[in-house]
Amino acid sequence: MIVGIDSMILIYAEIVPSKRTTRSSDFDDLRVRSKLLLHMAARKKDTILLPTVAISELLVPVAKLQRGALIALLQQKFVCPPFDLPAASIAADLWSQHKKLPQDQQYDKRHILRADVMIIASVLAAGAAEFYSHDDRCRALANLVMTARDLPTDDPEDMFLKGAIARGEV
Amino acid sequence: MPTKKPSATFEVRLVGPDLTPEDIPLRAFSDALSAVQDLASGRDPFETPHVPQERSIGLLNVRRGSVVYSCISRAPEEAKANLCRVAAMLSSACEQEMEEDGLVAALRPIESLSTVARSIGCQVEVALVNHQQSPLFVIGEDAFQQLSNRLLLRGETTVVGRVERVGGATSMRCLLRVPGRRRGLYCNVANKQLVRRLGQHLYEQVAATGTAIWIHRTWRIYRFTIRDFTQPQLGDPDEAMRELHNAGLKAWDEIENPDAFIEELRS
Repeated sequence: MIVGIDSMILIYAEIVPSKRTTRSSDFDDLRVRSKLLLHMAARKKDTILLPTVAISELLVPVAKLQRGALIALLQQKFVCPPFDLPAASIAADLWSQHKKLPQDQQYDKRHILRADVMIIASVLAAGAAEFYSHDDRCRALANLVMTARDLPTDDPEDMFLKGAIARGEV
Repeated sequence: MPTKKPSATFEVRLVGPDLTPEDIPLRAFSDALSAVQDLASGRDPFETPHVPQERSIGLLNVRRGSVVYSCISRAPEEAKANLCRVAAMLSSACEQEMEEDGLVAALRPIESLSTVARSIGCQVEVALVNHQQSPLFVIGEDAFQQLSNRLLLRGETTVVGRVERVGGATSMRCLLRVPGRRRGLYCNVANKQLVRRLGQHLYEQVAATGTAIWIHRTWRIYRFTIRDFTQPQLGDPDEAMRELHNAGLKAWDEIENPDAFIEELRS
């Protein structure tokens, strides 16, 4: 299967808790669940799409000299679809359909809506059947055009995997 | 034992100044009638290798003035309906209603007929027999270009699919099985080296980058030329994350609240 992910999933998955002085309480849980998603996708041999729009977000705090090498590595690990012409058309649809969502699922900031629209449209145009995000509004938006899922809380095929990831034993 | 000569279903006319049947090269004659057979049968030449016998057309007669080929279809009603749909598409009356497969199937034969018209310097007319003398549709050398200007868009894109066939004697082709697409996608391949590389990944998933021509109403890919491909593999996720961390993602360790940072970034 082809699945899309947003930038936050990689950020959560690579967080090193010991270096963080203050952090929101659920970061540890998000780190484990993001890694769980990557493990499940690897086992199922899913193709993972990380759109270039999401890559641009990942690169912001990265030193300029390191960006090229990081992009090259991301390309080895993920399919990185660009925001191309079909994506532009899908984005326009999503933008107009956003108003049909229930009020509590609509974005209150248009700039965030725009970024999420571009990410969702890029992965859908590249053929993703599912999209993973921990953001409720982003999932509601993606659900307008595809299947959107939150980070997994457990692996239905391996009940010990999540615990092993949490303990760093995988 | 054959008795009475059957009636023609439709006529294909090659109309040009001083054109006679003996002027038409066999290749052009064959290309023109094959393309009209595809239109009448609804066959997509890249999807179905041959027109089924029960939908094929036969040549009944050749007349002068300019060059008129009388054709008979083994499925006359279906042939007439398909040709009427092509006529509507060419007159831009029903491109919204024409189903996607029909549109794709008609484009390639129309391209062939435009090429024939250009090579001979004529117009290709298709007319139903016994429906007045006026043609159902006329294809000149610019017909395909005009249609493609209306229906097609070109741009760079990425296509993820499984390599199912690669190679070819007359042209370099690759068949990709793309998830969500009912039929395989026959792609052109930019060069021989790429064909050889693709051949080493038969029955494997690849991410192909290249130039696509889309039917923009549905964003279905009409043509795709592969210029390069990659085969990203996450591998062991923990190892992958370690590599990415060391390659630069560790910069995120310094961000107190990544969610808030991303939100601020987007504002």
